[in-house]
Amino acid sequence: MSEPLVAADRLRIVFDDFEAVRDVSLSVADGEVVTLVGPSGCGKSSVLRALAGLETPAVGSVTRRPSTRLSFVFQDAALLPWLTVLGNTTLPLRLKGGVDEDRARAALGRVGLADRPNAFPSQLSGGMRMRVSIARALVSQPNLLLMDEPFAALDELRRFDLAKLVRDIAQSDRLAVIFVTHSVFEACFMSDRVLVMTPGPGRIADEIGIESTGVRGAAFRESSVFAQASSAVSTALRAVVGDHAS
Amino acid sequence: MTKIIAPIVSAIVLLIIWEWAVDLLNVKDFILPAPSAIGQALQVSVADLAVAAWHTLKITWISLAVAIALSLFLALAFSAARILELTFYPYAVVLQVTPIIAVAPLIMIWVGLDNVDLALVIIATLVAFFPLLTTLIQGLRGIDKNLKDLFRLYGASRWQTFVHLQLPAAMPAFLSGLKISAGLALIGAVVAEFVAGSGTASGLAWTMLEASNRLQTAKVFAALFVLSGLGVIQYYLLAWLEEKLTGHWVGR
Repeated sequence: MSEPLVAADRLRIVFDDFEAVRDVSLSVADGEVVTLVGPSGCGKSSVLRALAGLETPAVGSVTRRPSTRLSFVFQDAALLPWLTVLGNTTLPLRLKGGVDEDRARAALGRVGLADRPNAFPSQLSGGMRMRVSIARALVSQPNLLLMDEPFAALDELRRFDLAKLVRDIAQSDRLAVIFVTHSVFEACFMSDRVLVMTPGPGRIADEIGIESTGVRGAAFRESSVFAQASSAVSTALRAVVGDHAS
Repeated sequence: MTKIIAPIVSAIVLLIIWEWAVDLLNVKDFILPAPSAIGQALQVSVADLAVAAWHTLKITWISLAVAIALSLFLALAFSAARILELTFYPYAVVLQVTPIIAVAPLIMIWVGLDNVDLALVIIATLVAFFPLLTTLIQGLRGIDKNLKDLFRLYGASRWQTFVHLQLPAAMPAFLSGLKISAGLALIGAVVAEFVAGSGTASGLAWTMLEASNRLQTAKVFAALFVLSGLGVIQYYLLAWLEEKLTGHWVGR
């Protein structure tokens, strides 16, 4: 197996005297979609933030291959309300000193927002705002995309559309995605691998691989692979939550 | 529409009652002039009043500009280093709660004897500056944590973060502070003119002082009318500016 794109080695993350994450190791290869699932407060977001370098682990280390170009998508779309859709999308380029509007327009096209470049975030629905956020993440042509419960505030249909969008882009661009969610559906639909975490302090309790070929869509949702994966992830989640589950 | 018509109708009714009551009760002109007399005074001294108003406005706007610069500087320093805020914010509070009218004579003694206008600006600035400081501090502190993280991930420099994130993010708070501070700067300028007394200053307050000394009560009212008119226009101009600049991004 080739060298991983990003790896975490025995991470321990502590806030004041609260231990959020204990002994988490994981590695993600190019183009791989990996999901962290677990009950609320299990430290999955902290692991993601540590992978991005936004959190410093008390123990352990994060290694990213030097060629890593990382983008991050937050739970709320985290758009600048004073900039238009296009302005928000070009922001990463502008901060690097080279605005390339064509690239931004292309990224907007990929998320289905080519026709709204001049709208302000307040004029968009939650789903559209998240699409802008994804376009902004794509504009710097990343090979690693970290997403922190990005679809949590959206309704079921939009969740499916956006999960499919991200999965398709990951597949066509060989983009590695690390995705945090508490939705079993999202985890199983999008991922090549699902890591199930225990509640605080968060540890990785289980790992479920999901093999499939070709593009995932409505048919995959009804396949036996998907059904088995969903059941396995649900069982693992119940096991880590224990008696509290019901 | 009712929003505009209702206050206009009530104002007209009030003026008619006033006119009629003054006439009926035969109130002396120097005690309470009728609206028609005030209108006449306004007409007669329109040139004087315009000059005086311009002077008061100049003091107000210079003070407001100084207050903006000062509060921006302090708010940024406070947000950059908490120790500065802990050290100096209490002084700002002390300045705020001390009645300006009690401090004004001191400032007149220190700088006003040689340079009245400078004293006026200092006094009006002291009055105007606090709401701007507090709203700016809040605006800078209230920036979404995710947005700060985003800028960190992009490797944005301190300057870039300031220009592209902090300044625009603090804009709504700044503009609402500005509406309050602009009104206060006008009040501060007038208070300062009163303290400076007649003969030295030449703004609207001085016009009122002088007119009242001569029992030209109608002219006092005329100046008062101009003064509150300026305050109202200033407020609505800033409200319009606020809507123009940040109206499209509320309800993020």
